[in-house]
Parts: sequence; C-alpha cells; structure tokens
Amino acid sequence: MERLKKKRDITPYLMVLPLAILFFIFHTVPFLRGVFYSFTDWPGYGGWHFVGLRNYLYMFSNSQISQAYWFTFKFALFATIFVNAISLALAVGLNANIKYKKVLRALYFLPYMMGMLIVGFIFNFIFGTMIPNFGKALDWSSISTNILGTDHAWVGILIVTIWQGMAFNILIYLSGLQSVDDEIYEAALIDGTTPWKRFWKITFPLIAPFFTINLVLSVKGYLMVFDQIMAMTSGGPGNSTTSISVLIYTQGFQSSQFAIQSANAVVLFIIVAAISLLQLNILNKREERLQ
Amino acid sequence: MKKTLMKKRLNKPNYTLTAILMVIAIFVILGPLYMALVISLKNPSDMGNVLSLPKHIQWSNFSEAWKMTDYSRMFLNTFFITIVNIVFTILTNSMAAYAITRNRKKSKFFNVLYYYFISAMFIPFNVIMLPLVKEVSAFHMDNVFGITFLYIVFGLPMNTFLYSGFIKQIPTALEEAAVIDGATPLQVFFKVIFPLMKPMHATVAILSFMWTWNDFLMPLVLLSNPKDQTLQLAQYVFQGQFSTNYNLAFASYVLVLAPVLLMYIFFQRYIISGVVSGAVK
Amino acid sequence: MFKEKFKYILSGVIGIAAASLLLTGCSSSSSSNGKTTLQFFSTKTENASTYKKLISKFEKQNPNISVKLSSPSNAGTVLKSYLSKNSIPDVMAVGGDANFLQLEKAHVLKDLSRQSYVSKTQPVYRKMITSLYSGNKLYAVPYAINASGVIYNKKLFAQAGITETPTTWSEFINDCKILKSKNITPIEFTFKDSWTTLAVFNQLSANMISKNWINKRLDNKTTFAKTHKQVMAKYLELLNYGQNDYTGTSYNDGVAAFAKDKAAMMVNGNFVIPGITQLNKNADLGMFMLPVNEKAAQNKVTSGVDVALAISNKTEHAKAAEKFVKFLMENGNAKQYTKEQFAFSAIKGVTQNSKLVSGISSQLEKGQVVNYPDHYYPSALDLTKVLTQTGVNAKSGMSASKNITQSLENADKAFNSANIKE
Repeated sequence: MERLKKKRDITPYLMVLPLAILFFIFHTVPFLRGVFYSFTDWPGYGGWHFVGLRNYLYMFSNSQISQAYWFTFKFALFATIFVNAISLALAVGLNANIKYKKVLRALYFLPYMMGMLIVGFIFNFIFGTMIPNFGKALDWSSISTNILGTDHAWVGILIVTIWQGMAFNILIYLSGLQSVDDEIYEAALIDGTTPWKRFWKITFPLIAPFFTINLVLSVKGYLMVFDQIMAMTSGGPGNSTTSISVLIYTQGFQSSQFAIQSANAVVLFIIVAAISLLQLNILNKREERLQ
Repeated sequence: MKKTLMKKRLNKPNYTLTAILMVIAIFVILGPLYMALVISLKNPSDMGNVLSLPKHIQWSNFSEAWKMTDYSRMFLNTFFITIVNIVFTILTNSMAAYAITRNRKKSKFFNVLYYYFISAMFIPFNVIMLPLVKEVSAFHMDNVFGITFLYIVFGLPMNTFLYSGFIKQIPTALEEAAVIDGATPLQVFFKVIFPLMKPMHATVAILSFMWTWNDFLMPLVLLSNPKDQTLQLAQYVFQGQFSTNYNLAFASYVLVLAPVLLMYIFFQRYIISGVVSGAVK
Repeated sequence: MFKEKFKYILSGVIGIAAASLLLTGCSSSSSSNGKTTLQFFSTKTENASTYKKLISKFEKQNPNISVKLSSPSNAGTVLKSYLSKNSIPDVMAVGGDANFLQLEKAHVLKDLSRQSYVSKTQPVYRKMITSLYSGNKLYAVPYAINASGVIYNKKLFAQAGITETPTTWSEFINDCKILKSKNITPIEFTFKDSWTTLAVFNQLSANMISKNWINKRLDNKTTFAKTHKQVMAKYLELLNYGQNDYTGTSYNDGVAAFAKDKAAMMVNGNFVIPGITQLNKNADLGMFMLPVNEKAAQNKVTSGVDVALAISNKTEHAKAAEKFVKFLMENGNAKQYTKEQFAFSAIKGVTQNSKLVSGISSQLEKGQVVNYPDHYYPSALDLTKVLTQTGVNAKSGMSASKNITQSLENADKAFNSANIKE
C-alpha cells in the first residue's frame, strides 16, 4: 500500500517536469542571460567586462533610443484609444436589433485572421499608390502624397493597426454586451431614459471587465509593435516610426550594440511587466468575485 | 399594454443601423481584400484604375508567384510547424496544466511552478530575442524542427493559465471513481480528463494556430536557411524581388491569405468562440 | 455528430502533417541522397534575375548541386542576425562596404587569394577590398563594379532643348531650372527606400571632402557639422528639383515613373538601368557623372565594388561553393552579368560596351574615380535615417540653414553612437 502511494505521487512530476525544464532552458535562461548582458559590454562573442549601469545611462542619452520610446508610447496610447473607442461603438451597433447579425459579426472579425505583415503590405500599396492616384485625379493635394513619406507616417501605421486590431476588440465587447440581460434594458426603457444615458449608466458598468481586458491586451500588444512597421516603413522616414522592438531587431545584432539593446529589452520588459501585473490583479479579483 | 408596445418596438429590426454597419463592413473590411484580389488577377497594363474588374483574368500571376516564392515548400514548412505545434501543445500542455492544477493545493512545488509559468507571461518574445538567437544557434535549432519545438515550449504559460481555469471547474469525483476502478494516474488523465477538456482544446488549438501561422518575428530571427522559411517570412524576403510588378506581389499575398480565409469560412463559429473563451476565461 | 467529424478532420490533419514531416525531413538531409544544396546570399535585390539565370545554367552543368538564392530587402540586418547566430550562408555576394567588413571582422570568410580566378581580376579593385582591413588575405573576390552618376532621359532633355550634358554644378542646376520651366520634373528621388539618399549624398561628399577626413572623424578630431555644410547645402539644393512626393516614393515606383518619362533624371547608380529597360524597352537613356564641383576637371565618378563574392569558412559544401564562385567568375558569365546589369566587371578583358553608360565608362577607364565615402563609415552608422529626415524636413518647409545645422548635428550624434571600438 505504502509503495503504491509513492508510485502514484511521482506521476504528476513526470507530467510536468520535462516541459518545465525545457521551458527553463529556452525561456528563463535566455531572459536571465539578457539581464546579465545588459550590465556588461559583451559584443556577442569573446570576452566581456562589467560596466554597471553604463548601458542604461547610454540609453537615456541616445536620441535614437529616446525617440523610439517616444514613438512607441505615443503609438500605443493612440492605438489603444482609437481601437477601443471604435470597437466599442461598432460592438454596440452589432448588438442592437439588426438584420444579418451573424454575417456582420463574421465580417468584422475577418481581419483578425490575416497576418499583420501581409496587411501591412496591402496598405503600403493603398497609401503609396492608390490614395495618391486618387488625390491626383481629384486634384486634392493633401492626399496626393504618400503619408508614409511624411512627418505623419506614424498615422499610416496607426490606421493599419486600427483596421486589424478592431476585429478582436469588437468580438470581446460583443461577448460582453451579449451577457447583459435584456430585461434590464426593458426596465430602463420604461423609465424613459435616453439611449446615451442608458449606455453609460447601465451597459458600460456591466461590460467594464471586458473593457479592462481589451485595454490591457491592447496596450501590451501595441507596445510591442513590429510587423506592420517592417512591412511599411522599416522605421522611417528618419527614425520617426522606429519602435522599441524594431530598434532591438535592427540594432541588436550589431556587435557594438548587443549589450545596449539587451538593456533596452530589459526596460521594455519592466514596462510590459508592470502592465501585465495590473492585468493579473484585475483578473484575480474578478475570479474571487465569481467564486 | 405599454410593455407589449415596447416589446414590439424592440423586435422590429433597425434597418438604418443594419445598412450603416453593412456599408462600413463592405468598404472598410472587404474593400482592401477586394482590391488585393482584383490586382492579383490583372495584367500590369490593366492597372489604370486599380479597383476596376480585370479585363482579362490573368491566372498566370498565381503560378508565377507560386514558383517565385517556392510556395509549396513554404506552405509545407508553415503547415508542419502549425500542426505539430497544435498536436503537441494540446497533449503536453494540458498534461502539465492538469498536474499543476490538481496538486497546487497539496504541494508547494506545484504552486510555485504555477506562479513561475504565470509570471513568465510577463516576458514578451522581443525581450529574450537576442540571447535566444545565440542559444538556439549553439544548439543548432535554427530550423523548422527547432522553431516548432520552441513554439510548443513558449506557449506553456498562456496555455497553463487557460487549462487550469478549466480544470478547476471539473469535479474531482470522476477521477476518484476511476482510481477506485484501478486506473493509473496517466489513465485517469487520458481516459477521463482529456476528453472532458475538449472545448478548451479547441480554444488552445485555434490560438496556437493563429499565433504560429501569422508569426513573423520569430521566423525572421531564427530561420536563416531559405529552405526553412515560413510563408510570412518568405513574403518579406521576396518583397524586393517583385519590384514594380504589383500583380505578382498581390497574387503572392492572396496565396498566403487564402488558406486562413478558407479555414475561417468553414470553421468561423468555432474560431470565434475559441478566441472569445481564450481572452475572457 | 461533431465528435465524429472532428475525429476525421483530426486524423486527416495528422496524416498530412506526418507526410509533410517526411517530406521536409527528406529534403533537409538532401546531401545524403547525393544532392548538395548551396545557400547563396546576396545583399542586392536588383540583380536577382541575372543570378537566377546564371544559377539555372550552373545547375544544369552540375545536376547534383542546387543553389538557393536569397536576397532580402533588409539584407544588412539579416546578415548581421546570421552572424550573431553563427550560421553563415555558403556563398555570399556582398558590396565592398560595412556589411562585408562585419563578416571579415567576425572571421567567417575563407581566404581566396590563392584561387586561380583571382589573378584574372584587376588589382585596383582587389585593393578596394583589401584596403578595408589589415593583412594581405583576400576575403572576397571583386566581381562587379558600379558607378554612380545621373541617369537621364534623352527624349526629355531634347524636349527641353538641352543638347549637352552638364559638366559643372552651375550647368547642372541651370539644366534643372530649364527642365522645371518646361514643366518636366527634373529629378526623381525615391527616399521611401532610405538607401537611395546615400546614393546622392555619397557622390557629393566623395567629390567635396578629402579622403582622410574619415580618419580624423574616427578619432573625433573633426565633425560633420564643421566640414559638411556645403555638402548638405548641395544635397538640399538638389531636393528642390525633385518630384512632389520624393520622400514617399519607393525605389520601385520611382524607377517605374522614370521609365514612363515622368522625370528627366535619377541620381543613383548604373544598377538602376536594368529595372528601367525591363519596364520600357525603348527607353532612350544615358548616364553622366554628377558634376559636383565648378571645375569640370576636378569631378570624379563615385565608383566602388558593387558585388564581391565570398565563401564561408564554415561551409560543409566547400567544394560546391568554390565550384559555384569559379563558375560565376568565368568570363562568359561575368560578361552576361555585366551586360544585363549594365555594370562594369572587375575581371580583366570583360568590358562594358553599352552606349547607355558610355557617358561614364570613359572616366572609369581613365581611373577618374573615387570610392564611396560610406564604405569607410563604422558599420553601425546608418546615415540614411538622417538623410531621409532631412528630406522630410525640407518638404515640410523647414528653412535650409536650420535643416543643415540640425541634420549635421544628427549625423554627428549618429556617428558618435556608432563609433565604438569593437
């Protein structure tokens, strides 16, 4: 009996340990190594010295890196606001009493299926060729140039991001809205409130958890923006659309920059971790409430 | 009286809103896709009006793009990575999540492991990218097999989170009954728990599929041999070679989008519910 | 019901996955069934079509070797990521520039100096390679030489009544003015692809800044701000004569517009020409050097090693790699490359006779040439970012003097952060 019990105890360990060890080797070890390198001058090969916080100080004094942070924050902020505002509006529309509900929902979710890189290439053509041709035909000078070649290139990136990001957010808001009981509305209708008041007073508080999910996932995702930039501007013109991720990729493999970009990655991690902590906190609280 | 009137008003579909939403969907969502499709079917000389229907449908764009990007090879690579990842992720990650969830209360070890995986969700790929590239090349894993393996391992935090939320809701009585019948723990897992987790398997499968099929950064930094490239990476690599032949370029985009869009048409319901439960659970 | 369907789908999918596993498995161990796969990496995308032709010829001669060409648009970065992974392509076609230097510094290239084909190449071009590093080994054999200058549309020049190509800066600017007054766009710039900014800037700085400036700059004894004001001023002056959307036009779109007679000139290199003739077989083109100085005799053609072939010293297919390089170096094949790409060959006796580039080939033969300044810049320096920003500034109406100061300041900042002893 005793032996049998012991045997049974070992199985859960076997179920999880191989994967846990592999995870440690391929995820945690690189992470720790990255943190370690960020305090050294290692060029990617050969010897190294500890340099303390030099790489981190360098980051703040380097205009290219600070510009990348400025762009990334600006982009993440605007993308989060626009994607969520537009998605919420469309989700409310899709949840209303309309025809072809299923078809419309399926259509609005479609962009989620498409890889950001390809979407970027398609919009690259729209911005670079289609819209300027259109502008020239109408003799409308403000749209007859490629927005990706101007100071406003980041707006072009933003538009693509909204186009693709909307899909997921609409879906989540919609599932939130669907969980709201119809009878609450009916009661409110009898009370004679305006639709606008009805939304803010009744609907919004009920879908608040879904709002938090979207907000947190959006900010986290947009701080990591990479694919659409590589497809459309490669970070240009100048450094105006170089995000933190693009900078780590384009500079990190340069031996003189390896350690500096490792420090950059660590800072990115701290920012993302802070946001994720917030996320986990909220999710846990809700879980407690449900139980 | 008043209430039935209200009900009536609620039941009458709002046609104006339907029309507005339809128009937005057609122009904003389908517009770019329509453009991609017509351009891919045109001849370069037929590009005067980009949005017009092709005068002569030029199927040869597709065969040329297919040859140029070595599509069949890239498709097989991507397909292999995606499918093997889904199968192994479901098998191994659900097992790990099961072991963790059921032993968290009893054993400190599993509880620590749970928080270890959950906290790893905080680390985005971009952060570990530079050292990982070094490590992967030292292990000679910069190929299709290596990257598939890494996808399985890297999905662990998210999937542990998803599965464990689901397993918590399964009553332990079933397992206890099976143990009394003389089943080994592995048998309990595969015969009792694994089939019960089907809805969560679907979610995990869909999320893994979306991740691996459309991923660009990881193949970009990890796969160097041209014959190991994925569809997304190949698009990036061949971008310059299309030069001004947009018809060829768009044919190639359509070739990459087609499999996912076809899948979406057939499995739309499961995909949508999978994504929702992945995010909301 | 669904359960049944799901099982079928699942088993089907697993079946296909297993099959694809077998397929990928088989071909990845291709050398075992007698076929060697060579990876051929090129940092240029423009010449891919010629490479493809040469490759299929090579594969016909050597049925047991297959060559996979890869020429990504962001080649420099991609190459660096390979380097950091230590997975070097078997054969590489690189420019005689910072990308090559990175490879040399990482000690991943084979010394080719004893190969039979080396003696066929002109010593002056071998020196362009060896002068980039110390030691007398040859880590890449020069293959094609490029020449920068102005590619012009003869039809549009005639239309504007310009009969002779300019030989001084003021003549050049004057011609631009004439073209503009006739409603012809003088110059097509393609700054959306940032490398093309340097194609302009290099020609200016090569003719205006002395050769040993870079050594002083590396030792921080001088700056861009102190020395490059005139260069930047001329760069900005040229932008006045660009098309409306010069920062938003991609290289491919610009070449297409030029091929359709939308602009009279492009300031770039000979390697632009095949793209133009591909789109418009009847394009009446010519090329002359950008006359940067007022004294015609002082002007030189900016020219350098456009393609040099290198072999990895870690390759498992050394024999096949050498065979392939040797094949490319054969006179007939070099001739084909030179002809199709309107390039100049590093190989003795392989000449460029096209009249499209006759405007600069005489200077090249006379040795009236100067190398690209950016080939000597630190590899981490990306001046194109600074120069595209200059273009955007100019377009959004910043005054020239402010733009010059700001751009040169940015150039110095970028240089300082790149100038770290490795």
